[in-house]
Amino acid sequence: MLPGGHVALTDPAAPPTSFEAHIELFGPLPAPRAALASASGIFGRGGAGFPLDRKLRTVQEARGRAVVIANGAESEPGALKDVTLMTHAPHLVLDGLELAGATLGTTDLFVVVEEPDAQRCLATAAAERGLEVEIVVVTPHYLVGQETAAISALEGRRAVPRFQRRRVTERGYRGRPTLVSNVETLAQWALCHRFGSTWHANLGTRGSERSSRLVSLHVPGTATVVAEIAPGTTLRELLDVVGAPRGLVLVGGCFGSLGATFDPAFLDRHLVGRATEPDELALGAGNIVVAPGADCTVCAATEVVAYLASKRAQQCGPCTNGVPELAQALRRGDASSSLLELAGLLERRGACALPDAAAQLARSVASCETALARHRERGCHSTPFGLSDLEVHHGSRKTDRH
Amino acid sequence: MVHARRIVIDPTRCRGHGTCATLLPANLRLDRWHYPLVVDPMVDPDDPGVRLAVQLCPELAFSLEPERPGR
Repeated sequence: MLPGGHVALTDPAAPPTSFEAHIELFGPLPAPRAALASASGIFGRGGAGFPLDRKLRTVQEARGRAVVIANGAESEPGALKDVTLMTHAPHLVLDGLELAGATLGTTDLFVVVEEPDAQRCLATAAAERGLEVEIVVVTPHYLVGQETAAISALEGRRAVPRFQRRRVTERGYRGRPTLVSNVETLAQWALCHRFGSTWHANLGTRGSERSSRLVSLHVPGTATVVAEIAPGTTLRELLDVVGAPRGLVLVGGCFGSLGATFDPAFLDRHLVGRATEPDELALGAGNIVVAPGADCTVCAATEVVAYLASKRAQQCGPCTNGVPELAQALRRGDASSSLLELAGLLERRGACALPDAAAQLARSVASCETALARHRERGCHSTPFGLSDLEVHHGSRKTDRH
Repeated sequence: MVHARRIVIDPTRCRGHGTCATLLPANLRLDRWHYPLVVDPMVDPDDPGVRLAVQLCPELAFSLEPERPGR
C-alpha cells in the first residue's frame, strides 16, 4: 500500500475492488476477535478518537440486541477520505462491519453515507458477498456525522445531535446498544484480523500511532487529494508530496489546529490521530485545508468560526448565542481576554462539540496578541479557506477529481 | 454529603428561564445570555432546593445523574 515513501496518493480514477479481487488479495474473512481492537490500540478515525475496544466492550456488556452503524458521513469541509475508501475499497469497510456484527451477535448493520456514489458501491459490494446491510443516504450537513445525529437520521428524525444521559453504546438506535464507528476505523480493524494486531508495524511506529491512515488534503480551486500516510509523517512531507502551496493550514477540520507554513515548528509536526506530544498534530477527522498565500490567522479563525456558526443546530442556548458572537469578536480582533471569556462560556455547554471547536480556535488565536493587533491594524477581512465554496463542490465531487 | 449527585442539564431543552439558578445559587449562576453555568455540579438529592429545581424547571431540562451502583 505504501511503496517506499511515507505518503501514497489514491487514484481517483480507480474502480472499486470486486469481491473476487478482494478475497484474492486478502484471503477469506477470518473469525471475529474483539481482543484485537485492544491489542492493536485502534482508536476512532471519525474525529473523536475514542478507543474501539472500549466501545465494543460497552456494547457487548449492555442490555439489548446491538446495532452496528458504520459512519461514512464525514461532513467536515474538504474531507473526502471516507467517500474514497467506500468507493474504492468497499469490501474493506464491509469486512469491518461484518466482523463487528459477528462480534456483537447482531445482523442489524447500517452504513450512513452522504454520497449516492458511496451507497451504490457499498450496495453492489454487499450483494456480491451476500451481506445484509442497510445503506442509508442522509442529507449532507456538517452535523449529520455526529453519532447521535446519525442515529436520529436513521430513526427518521431530525438529523441533529441529541442530548443523552447515557452513551449510545448503552442506549442508541431505538434505545438499543449501538456501535457507531467510522468506516476507516472498521476497515483498519478488519485488516488487523487478517494480518494480526501488529502487522502495520513494518511501516514504523510513532508513539501510539501504529498504522497508516487516510488523509484528505484540500487546496481551494483544486481537486481534493486523498493520501495514505505512514505513522509519523510530518505535515511538510505530506504537503511536499502533494505539491501543495504554502500559506495557512487547518489540520483536523474545524476542531483542529490552525497554523502557518512559514512556521517551521508547525510544518515539521507529525500527523497523528491523537496528539500527545508538542511536536504532534491531531488529524481529527483526517482532513486538511490549505489557504494558499494567506497569512492572517485571525481571519482564518474568523472564517472557521463563522462556518461553524452557520452549521449550528440551534438547540442549545450558549452555542446559538455564543458562536456567532465569537465570530464577530474574532472579526473585530477583540482582546485576548474577551476571546478567552467567550471560549470559557462555550466549552461543554452544548449537546455536541461544535461550540467546543469554536472555543478551541478562539483559544489558539487568543494566545497570539501580535496576530490580533496586526489584524486590527490592517483591518483585513478575508475568507482564506473558501469553506463555503466547498459546500458547492460537495454535490459535484466526481468532476472535482478530474 | 452522604450521597451527592451530579447536576445534569439538558442543553437542548433549556431555555434559560433561570429557575434552577435562583433555587441553587451556590451551584449555578447565569451567563450573559441567561443560561445556567454550573459552578459546583454536586448536590444533595434530598435538599429541598434541589428537589424543587428538578420539579420546577419549565422545560424539564434539570435533573440529577442517575445513581450507578458500583461504577
